[in-house]
Amino acid sequence: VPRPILVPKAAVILELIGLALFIIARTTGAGWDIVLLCGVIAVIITGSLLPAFVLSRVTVRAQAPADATVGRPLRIELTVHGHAVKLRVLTFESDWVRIDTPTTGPLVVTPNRRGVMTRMRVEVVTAAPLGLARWRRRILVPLPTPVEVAPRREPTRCPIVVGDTQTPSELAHLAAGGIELTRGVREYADGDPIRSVHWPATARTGAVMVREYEGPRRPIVVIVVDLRGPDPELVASRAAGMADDALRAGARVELATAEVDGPRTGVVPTPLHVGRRLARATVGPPPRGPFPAGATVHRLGGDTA
Amino acid sequence: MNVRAQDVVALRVSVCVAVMAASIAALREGAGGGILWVAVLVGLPIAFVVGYLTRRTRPLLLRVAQSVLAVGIMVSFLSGIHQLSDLAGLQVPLAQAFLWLLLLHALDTPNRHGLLVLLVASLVLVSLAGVLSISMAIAPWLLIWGFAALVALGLAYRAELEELPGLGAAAAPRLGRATLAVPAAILALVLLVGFGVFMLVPVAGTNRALTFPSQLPDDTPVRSDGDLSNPSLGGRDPSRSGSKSSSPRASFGYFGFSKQLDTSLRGRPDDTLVMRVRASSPDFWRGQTFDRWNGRVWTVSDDRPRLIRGEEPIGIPRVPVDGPAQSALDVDELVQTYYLEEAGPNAIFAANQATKVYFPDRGIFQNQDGSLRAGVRLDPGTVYTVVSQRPLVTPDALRVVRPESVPDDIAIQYAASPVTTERVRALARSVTASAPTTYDKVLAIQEWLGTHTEYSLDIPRLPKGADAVDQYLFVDRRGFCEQIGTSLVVMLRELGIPARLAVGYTPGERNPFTGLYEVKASDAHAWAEVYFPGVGWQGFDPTAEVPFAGDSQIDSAGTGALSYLSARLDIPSEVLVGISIAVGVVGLAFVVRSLRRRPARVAISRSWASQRLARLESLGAARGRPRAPNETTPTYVRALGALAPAHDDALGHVGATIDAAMFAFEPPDRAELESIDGLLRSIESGWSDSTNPADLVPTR
Repeated sequence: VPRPILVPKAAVILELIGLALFIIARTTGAGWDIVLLCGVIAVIITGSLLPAFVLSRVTVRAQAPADATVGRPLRIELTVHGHAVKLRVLTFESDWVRIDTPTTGPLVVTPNRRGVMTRMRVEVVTAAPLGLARWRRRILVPLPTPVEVAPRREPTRCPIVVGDTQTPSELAHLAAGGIELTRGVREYADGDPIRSVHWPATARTGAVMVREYEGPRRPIVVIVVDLRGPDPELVASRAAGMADDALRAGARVELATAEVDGPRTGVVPTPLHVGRRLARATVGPPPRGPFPAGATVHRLGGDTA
Repeated sequence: MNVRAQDVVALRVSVCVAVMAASIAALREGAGGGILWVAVLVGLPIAFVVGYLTRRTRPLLLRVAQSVLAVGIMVSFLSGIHQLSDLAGLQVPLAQAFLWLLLLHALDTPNRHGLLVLLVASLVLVSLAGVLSISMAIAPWLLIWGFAALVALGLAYRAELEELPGLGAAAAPRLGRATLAVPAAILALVLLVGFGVFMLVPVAGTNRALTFPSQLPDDTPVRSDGDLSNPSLGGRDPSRSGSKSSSPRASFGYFGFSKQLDTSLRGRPDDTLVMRVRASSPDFWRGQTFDRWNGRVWTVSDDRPRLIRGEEPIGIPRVPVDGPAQSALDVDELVQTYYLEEAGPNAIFAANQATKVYFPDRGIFQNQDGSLRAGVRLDPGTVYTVVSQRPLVTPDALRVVRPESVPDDIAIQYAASPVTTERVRALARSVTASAPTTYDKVLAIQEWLGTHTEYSLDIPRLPKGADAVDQYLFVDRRGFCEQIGTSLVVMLRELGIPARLAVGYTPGERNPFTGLYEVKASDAHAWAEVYFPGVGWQGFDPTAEVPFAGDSQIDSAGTGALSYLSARLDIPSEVLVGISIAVGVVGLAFVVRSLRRRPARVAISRSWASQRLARLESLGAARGRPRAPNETTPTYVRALGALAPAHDDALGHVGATIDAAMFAFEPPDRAELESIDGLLRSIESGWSDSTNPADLVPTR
C-alpha cells in the first residue's frame, strides 16, 4: 500500500501561499485570488494523490545468484514496470536508482546480514508527476532462486590435534595439496605402472620394487556452531573463518549447526559449502554428537562466545 | 552522465514562460509603464539566457551589481510608499518592485532551487495581478502561467530524479510530445478539481476589507456644486437645463438619473457595461429617490444638496427622513467598491444606508433623501468605495414592525394620500384587506401586480391627461419597472404606508471569477422603498430578485459559475457539466496511461547482455539451432561454434563477455562492449547459410 512519507518544501510553500491568497482575497475581495487559491489547492490535491496511483502500478521482479557473502557486492537483475520512480533494495544495502520506463537491468547491492533470502523487500518512492508529495511503497519480491548469504569471514585459527598415525610432515604435505603418501615398497606385480618403480630399492634388492601407496589419513575437525549467544553473527563469522582455516590445513571439516529442520552435522568440502551451511544456520541447539572418533571438536557460540 | 536540473533548458524555458505570463498579467492590470514592458518582454528572456550561461561561473561582478540594484529597488519602493495613505495604494508599487526583483533574480539561477524560487515568485506576482484585476482579461494569462508552471514543476521533479543513476540502459526522457501532453492532461485534471474546489471555498467578500480603493481620473467639476449631471442623457442632461443642446442620449443613458422621472417616456438602456461593483452580497445600488408624484411624473420636493467635507473616508450623516437610528435588528456592514466603465450621472451609488465613502475629492453632496452626489464628473476609470450599514432584514423581522410608530415628518412627506384615481385607491384597500402587517400589505400588492399585470417593455403611449398608475393597472395591464414601482408606491401611500420611488441599478450579474457584479445599462431600475419604523427604508420590487440583507448570503465563490460560463459560451449548463466531466475523465485517463505504461504495450528496456543474447538466439534459431531452455550461454555458443567453425573463437569470446556482463561483479568496460558489438555484427553478416540443418540438434 502506497504511503505518504514526505511533504517537500515546494508543497509547504504552496500551502503557505494558498493561505496567503485566502487572506488577501478575504481582505481585498479579489475574486481572481480565490480562483488562484482553488488552482493551488487543486494542484496540491492532484500532485499529492497521483504519486500514490503511480506507485500502485509498479511491479518488480528480480533474479539473483544463489550464493552471496555479507559485505561483498552482489549483482541482481531487476525488472521494474514503473515510471518516474526511484527504487532501492531494503533487504540488502543499495543506493537509489532511477526508473524512467519499464526496465530490466543489473543492480549491485551489498548483503548486510546472513541468511537464506527467498524474497527481498524493495522500496519504491515517487513524487511524480509534480514533485509535490513523496509517497513510498514497499514491495516483497520473491526470488526464483533463494540467495544463501554466507557470513563475513572472521579470520580465526583452527587448532588441529595431530593423531598418532599422522606426522607433522604428512600434515604439511596435506596442506600443500598432496593426495597420496608412499607407505612402503614391494615386489613388482603385473599391472603396476612403470612410473611407480622405486629405483633405489630395486638397486638395493636386485628385484624390481615398486612403491606402495596409501591414501592420506586426513585429520577431522568438527566445528559446533551455537548461535544462541549474544552475538550470533560474530559466532557465524568466526565459524566460517575457522572452517576455512581448517580446510586450508587439509582437514576434513564437519559443521554442526541448528537449522530450521533441526540439528544437523555434515561435511563441508569447500569454503562455498561452509558459507551455505552457515547461511542456513539458525538460533537453536546444535547437535551434541556423537562425532567421529579422533576428531578435533571446536565449540563456538553459546556460553563460550 | 546524469543530468543536473540547472542544465535542463526545457525547465528554464518553462519557468521563463511562467514568469513572463505572470509579469504580463500584472502589467496589463496597470502595474507598470513602458519601461517595465520593455524590461519584461526583452529583459526577462535575456536575463534567463544570462542566468543559464553563468550558472557555473556566477561572476562576482554580476552578483555585486545585482545586490546593488536590489537595494536600489527596495529603497525606491520604500521611499515611494511612505506617503501612501492606505493599503490600496501599495498594490501597484509592490507589483513594480516585485517585477524588477524578478528580473534581477532571473540573472542568477545557478540551480534548481533558484528556478523554483522564480516559479513561486511568479505565483506571488500573479496573485498581485489578481488583486488588481476586475475583468476577465487576465484569464488567458493565468491559463498560460498555469500550464507553464505545471510543466516546470514536472520537469523540476524529473530533473531531480535524473540526478540518480538509472537502472539498466533506459534512455532518459527528452522534451517532446509527451512532455507537453502530460502537463496538458494534468492541467485539465487540475482545472476540473479546481472547479470543484471553487464550488466549495467561501466567497472572497469585502467585509473584512483592508483596502478601500478610490480613484478619480478626471476632476472636472459639474456646472454648479451639487447639481445633478448626467452626460449620458445628451440634450436631456439635467445640468444643461436651459441650454438648447440636442445631442442624442447615449445608448446606455437612463432617464431615471435626472431631476424628474416621466413614466410616459420610452427608451431602455442597452447592455453596455456601465460599472462593476465589488461587494460581498447583492443589493440595490441606489442613485437617488423621488418623493413627489403628480400622476405622471416623479420629482424631488427638495433638490438642495448639502456639501459634506472631509478627508477619506468621508462620514455620511443620517438625514431626518432616514428616521431614528436605533434598530432592533442586527446590522451588517456592506463594503462596495464601484468601478465605473462609462461616463454616467454624478450620483454616487450606494446600498442603503451609506455611512462612509472613500472618494478622492474635497467633498461630496448629500440630498435630503440621503442619496449622494459627486461634485465632479464621474468618467470611466472612476473608482470609489462606499461602506453601508444594513439591518439584517428578514420577512419575519418586518412582520413584527409596528406601523403606528412612523415619525410624523416621514409620514407627511411619504405617506400622504397620493394623486391617483378612486379605483386605484379602492383596489389598494381591497387587495390588502386581509393583510395584517405592513409587510403583508406590500406582499399582497406585489402578488396582485404579478397576477394581474404583465411585465413588458412594449407598452402603448400614455394618453394625454391619463393617470399613469390607473392606465397601467386597469387599461394596459402591461408595464415595466417604472410603472410597477410607481403603482406599488401609490397604493402603499393610499394605505398610509410611507413609500417612495428609488432609481439605480439592480445588482447585475455576479462574475464568480472576479467576484464583482457586472452592472449593465439595462440593469437600470426603478423600485419602491417602504419605510419600516425601527428598520428604515427597505426596497421592494416584484420584477427584480434582490434578496433582503438578512437572506443574501453567497456561500461559495463558485456560486453561479456554471450559469455564467453557460451564458457566455452559449452552451446549456447541463452540456457544460458533461463536457467538463468528459475533459476531466479524458485528462485523468491520459495521465494514468502515461504514468502506468502497461508492460503489454511498452517493450521493456533490456540490459545490454540480454539484448546481445537475444541476437545470438535469433541468429541460431534462424539456422535451425534454437537455444534450449536449460542451456547456459557458454554451452549455447559452443554449440553454435560447432556449427560454424569459422566463427568458433569469435562466438566463444562473445558468449564469455555476455556471461560476464550478466553475472560478473566487475562487468566489462564500455570499449569491450563496443568491440563485442562489432564482433557480433561480423558474425551475423559472415555466417554461411550452407550448414546442413539436419546436423543441428539442440543439446539437452
